[in-house]
Amino acid sequence: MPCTPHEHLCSRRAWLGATAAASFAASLGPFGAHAVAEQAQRKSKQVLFIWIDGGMSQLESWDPKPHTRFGGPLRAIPTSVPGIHFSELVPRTAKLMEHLAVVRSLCTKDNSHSAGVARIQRGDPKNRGVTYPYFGSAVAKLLGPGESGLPPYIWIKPGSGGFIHQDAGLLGPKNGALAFGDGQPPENLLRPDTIAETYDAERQELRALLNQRYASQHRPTASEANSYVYDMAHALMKRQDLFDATRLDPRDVERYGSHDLGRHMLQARNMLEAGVTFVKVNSYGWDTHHDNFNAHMSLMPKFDQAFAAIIEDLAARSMLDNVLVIALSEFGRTPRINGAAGRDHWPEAWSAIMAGAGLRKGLVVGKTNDEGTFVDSEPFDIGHMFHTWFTALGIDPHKTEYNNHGQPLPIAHDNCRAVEELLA
Amino acid sequence: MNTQTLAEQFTPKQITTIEADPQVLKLRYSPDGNTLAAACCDARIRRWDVTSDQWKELSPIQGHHGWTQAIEFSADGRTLYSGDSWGELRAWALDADEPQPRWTVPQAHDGWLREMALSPDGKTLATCGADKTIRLWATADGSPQAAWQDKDNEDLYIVRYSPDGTMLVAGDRKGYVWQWEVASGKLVRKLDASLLYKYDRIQDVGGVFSLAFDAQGEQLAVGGNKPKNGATIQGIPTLLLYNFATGELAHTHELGETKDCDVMDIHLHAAGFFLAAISGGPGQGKVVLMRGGDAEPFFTETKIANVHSLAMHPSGKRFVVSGTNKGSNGNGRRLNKEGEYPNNTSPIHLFALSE
Repeated sequence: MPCTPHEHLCSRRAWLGATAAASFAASLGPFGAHAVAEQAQRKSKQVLFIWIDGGMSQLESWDPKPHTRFGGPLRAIPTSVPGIHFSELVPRTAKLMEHLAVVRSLCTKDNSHSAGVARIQRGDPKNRGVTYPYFGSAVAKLLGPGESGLPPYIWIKPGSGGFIHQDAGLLGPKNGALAFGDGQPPENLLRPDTIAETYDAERQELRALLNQRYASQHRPTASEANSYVYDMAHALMKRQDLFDATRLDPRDVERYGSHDLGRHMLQARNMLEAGVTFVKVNSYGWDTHHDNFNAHMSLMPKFDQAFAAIIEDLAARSMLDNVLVIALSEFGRTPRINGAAGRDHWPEAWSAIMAGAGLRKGLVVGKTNDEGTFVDSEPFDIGHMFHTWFTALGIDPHKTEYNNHGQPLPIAHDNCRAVEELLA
Repeated sequence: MNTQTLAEQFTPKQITTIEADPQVLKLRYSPDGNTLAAACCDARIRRWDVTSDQWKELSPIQGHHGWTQAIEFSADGRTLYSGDSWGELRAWALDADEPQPRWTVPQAHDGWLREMALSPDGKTLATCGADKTIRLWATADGSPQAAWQDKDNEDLYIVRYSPDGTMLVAGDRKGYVWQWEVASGKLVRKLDASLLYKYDRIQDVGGVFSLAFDAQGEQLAVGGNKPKNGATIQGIPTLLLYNFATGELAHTHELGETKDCDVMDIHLHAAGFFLAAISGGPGQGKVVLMRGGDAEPFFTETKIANVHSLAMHPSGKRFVVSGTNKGSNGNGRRLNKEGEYPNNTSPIHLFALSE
């Protein structure tokens, strides 16, 4: 799926080749040196997208309302930035507020998981009868794989893995997510010892030949995706160290936590260090309609531990300048506490936390009213966030378009804009 | 007394219901049975004169933060002890119309003070909390007497004294009941009720939500749920009856389906049966009366949703339970007729046992 010239990207080969910058610029035609510089800036950008599936409570995390009607039992604690308070359940993250930005005025549309998960991750674009890509597929397409040669969109999740082509939407299946179930590599990644290297190379040649023949007779999207999966497997075969738990520093394992989220976040750090463009980490089980407070007292400390550890590490490695970190759910949770001591789904006024890639640090954007029931400032939909995130990544959402078989499509909602307060 | 006799003599009849706004977390009768206190989600403690069936509301007790969940009357009924989710412990003098603090411990626990129990001699108050610690306080002045914790015990949800006052038991988040000898402070036993716990994804689900002794201290009832999953929790409400002397599990009672969930409060009646308050998912809940060892309850009330607390009148002839209003849950913007975003409430239901 080609894009418009604005976001034509340097291929890895072009980037790594010995071609002089001038001739490279000339190859880009009228966009010239400016485009090269812009693309160079884009090249170094990466994303860590932490998906808290089910709905983290904003009141038990980034927007506490202690001792109010709907505030619940927990206290608020100060962060490292004077005047900003978080729930007592995130003490480690609170100490890192100088690196972070919080939006407390998200007001989105869907109060069901089935609609919300997709709409939030697709940026809720206007309905034009096409399926928009998830943010991971979009960024992977627009920024490309970078210098690492590794798959540009990796998803580390509990449960099973595989190639999740559905995320790609209109971009075509090739731009889907490579999911590592429980952080494990794809099965049978290694070449068996019984197959010699030369024989394996011959097999790969034959496969490529057959693929070409198949592709010439079929729609390109499926065959491209099929070939792409093999190419990714080859790339990963060279980086098996990324899956080798014995190589991890035990101190890191302890800092991130031995639970799923900690292990997966540590692996995400290593993937980012290896140069993967977009890494998504999922945590499931946050739909706390029942026993919300004990649930968050169990869940949030694990999130806090892993999130604070990766922010610390990205900051210490000077990676936070280029890595955009986002943590959010499909919605927040109701201020009203139901009969089961739970909180239900609440898209009306909720929060997301983010950092890096040039976002301003140490600030809260937007506010809710004293009881946390509704937004008490300009409300931001997920489209605003997509504009903001694309801009932070060096992708101009006003100039960059998808090309859907000749139909130009904006990459973010036409009626939204970037949240300027977040952009440095 | 056999089950049929129990059913004939103790099948409850509902007498009255009053609304309490907001939700009630704990109910307790004063020792003379004339006052009912309700610890609430807005940190207040509401009180009613219940000497007649027309309850008269007394001035509430205010000054706590977060949620007030733990309350106990002193043996003479002149003091009410209370603890909140921000860790503060207070004693209130009830002599005047407007209760005044006798003493305050601002940071009795680091975080949620979840429950308390009064020693049988009335001299010591035991509290437990999210800081995984049992703490003992002199009721006279709130001075700290002891603090106990095992390296392995988790967030302690509930604490109770044995009737002779020699032992303290506390139930934790992972389904263990820890038993300390009061005189020595020595941990003497850990009862394994971990079927009331499950680690699901990255969530600790369940735990010991309720504990109760019978009057002789021969039986210890342990309540919670047998969890199937976390998040929107599903689990079978389960009550375990232990022989307290031997620590042997005598009976396991599953009191509902997975939607019914948690045994939140228990009372072991002198006549040889137990009452259990059960809160399930939103809108689910019931009150169960049953003889230990029987296959079925002799009474089940299912019209009351999300029953969080149960208090037996000192006479043993009446009890109250707090539920939750209908329609307490719902996704998204749900406003009332006035266009306001409403709070939930707790109807308090008074029952008479038909002896």
